[in-house]
Amino acid sequence: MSLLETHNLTKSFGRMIAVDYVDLTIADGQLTAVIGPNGAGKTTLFDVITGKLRPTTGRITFRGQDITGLPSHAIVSRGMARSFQVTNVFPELTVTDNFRVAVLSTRRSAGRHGVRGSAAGAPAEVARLLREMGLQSYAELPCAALSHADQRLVEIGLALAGRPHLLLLDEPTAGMGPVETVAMTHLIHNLAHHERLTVVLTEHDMQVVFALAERVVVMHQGRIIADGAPAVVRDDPLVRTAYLGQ
Amino acid sequence: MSEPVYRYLGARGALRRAMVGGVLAAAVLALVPAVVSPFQLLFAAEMLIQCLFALAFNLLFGITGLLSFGQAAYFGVGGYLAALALVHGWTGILGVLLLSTVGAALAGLVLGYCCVRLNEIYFAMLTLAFGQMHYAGARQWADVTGGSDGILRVPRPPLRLLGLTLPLDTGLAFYVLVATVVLLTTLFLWGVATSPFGLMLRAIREKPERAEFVGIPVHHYRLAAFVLSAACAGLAGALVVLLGHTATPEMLFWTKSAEPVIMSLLGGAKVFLGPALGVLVYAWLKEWLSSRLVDYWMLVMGLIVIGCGLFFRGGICGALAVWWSARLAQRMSYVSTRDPQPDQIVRPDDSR
Repeated sequence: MSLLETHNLTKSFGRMIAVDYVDLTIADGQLTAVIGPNGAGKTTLFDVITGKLRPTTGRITFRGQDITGLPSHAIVSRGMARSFQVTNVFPELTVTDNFRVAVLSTRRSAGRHGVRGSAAGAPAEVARLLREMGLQSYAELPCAALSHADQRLVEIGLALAGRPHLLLLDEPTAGMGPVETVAMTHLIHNLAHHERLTVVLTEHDMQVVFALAERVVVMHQGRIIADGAPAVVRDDPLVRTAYLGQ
Repeated sequence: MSEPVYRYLGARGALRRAMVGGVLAAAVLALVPAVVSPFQLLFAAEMLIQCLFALAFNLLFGITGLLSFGQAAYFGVGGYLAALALVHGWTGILGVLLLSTVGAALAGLVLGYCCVRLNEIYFAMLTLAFGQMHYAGARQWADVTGGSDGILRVPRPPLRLLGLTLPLDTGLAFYVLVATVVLLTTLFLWGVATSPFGLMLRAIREKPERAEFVGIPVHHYRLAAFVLSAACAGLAGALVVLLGHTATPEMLFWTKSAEPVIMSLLGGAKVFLGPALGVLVYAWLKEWLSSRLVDYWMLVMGLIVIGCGLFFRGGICGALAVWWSARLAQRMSYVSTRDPQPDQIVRPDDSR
């Protein structure tokens, strides 16, 4: 069953068309990588799907509901979470408070949607996030004092706080060293295979892409030019010319 | 389940601290009449009202991250509502305070709705514009507001509470009323700042976009903070009118809006009571400087504020906090530089 569907999704800034009639269907449980050269429209696609930008044309369906034009917080509270290309955490709040914000806000919106929503159980949920991200020893430090890689972990923890159905990761390993990249790859693999989370990620590191992805979508100049299993996409001649420049 | 998490999430600790702080503050406020003259007591009441105004402003500035340059509008709305009600024969003083609070909250709801969509400088400019509109309104609508003279000879009726009638015409009685109202409102604001709602506001201050993407409806939360801040400013305005028996357009002038900004910057906007400390320091500096420099004291005050902006971003409280945490770090080698270990990160897998 498809979790997310876009129909004729377009986003243009004046004459510049960043996302050009994209029809994308994400199946439940699938780990998809969206790749493409800089400026291919990957981040804009994420921004349009998560409500940060309004699409110029087209529709977005998430879990069977039309979410086109909804504000981001409403989309997030329906079970879609994302991380950002440039690390985006609450720098002056402690790691614990970062997670508390995310946990409490999901509970608040869950309450509005008729699900049991209270602050009860929030401490356990915060402790779970600290444990799963391996950040217990930094719990009371302000995020700004953490290393870049640890801040990325906090950001993923923020996204996981609402126990989302779909996780969008925008270049999760950007700016990381080789050891940290391996660790992040492991983490994403665990989320997808043990937590049964549907993950869509953009990534420049092809080793990460081919280690993780079950499906690779290639974007070029706002369009999807290839879509399929990693091995097939890698050998696609169109992809090689457009993306690998060969 | 690690112990520190529970400690940090415990609401009970916050409540205990509020009670201890409240009792301590009440004791200090109760001692003031014993050590100062009746004239100084009215000055103390004025300072307390200014504290309330500054703390209300800082709910927006220090906690939510919105620099409002028009809080005098709500201060003035509260003040004028109180003056009008009292001049037209209202005698219930608590009713008057409630009217001013609710009236200012409603003004904050309408104008805040327009402002909270904007960020940073645009927000500051729009609040300034609304503030000056209120000032112009107070001056021009002479039939109701008394124009540039304002409303004079506002009576101060006795306080009727639980069947008792307490006259407020002595400085001491009025001081007790002001101290009680300011203390209770400050405790309320502290409760707001330390609640989950206050935590959301701080998250919005840090990164509005990220806050939206953890599911917080940022505009609604900002508007709620705006309304609360306006309500408390209106209450402060009503108390000032009761204190001075007049409501004047100067209550709404932009320089009145600048006062809490300067006080918060001096005292420290990131610490809850920082603006209250700022009120004291500002009053002391003003007294000290104007007795020596007469006409030039504003110039020196300006230089001090510039110095704060350049070198002491966190104000006095911020500088103290930096000094304290540096000491703490020295003692405990606080900041760990350890790199994350891969095996630590893949822990969910290990536990299966």
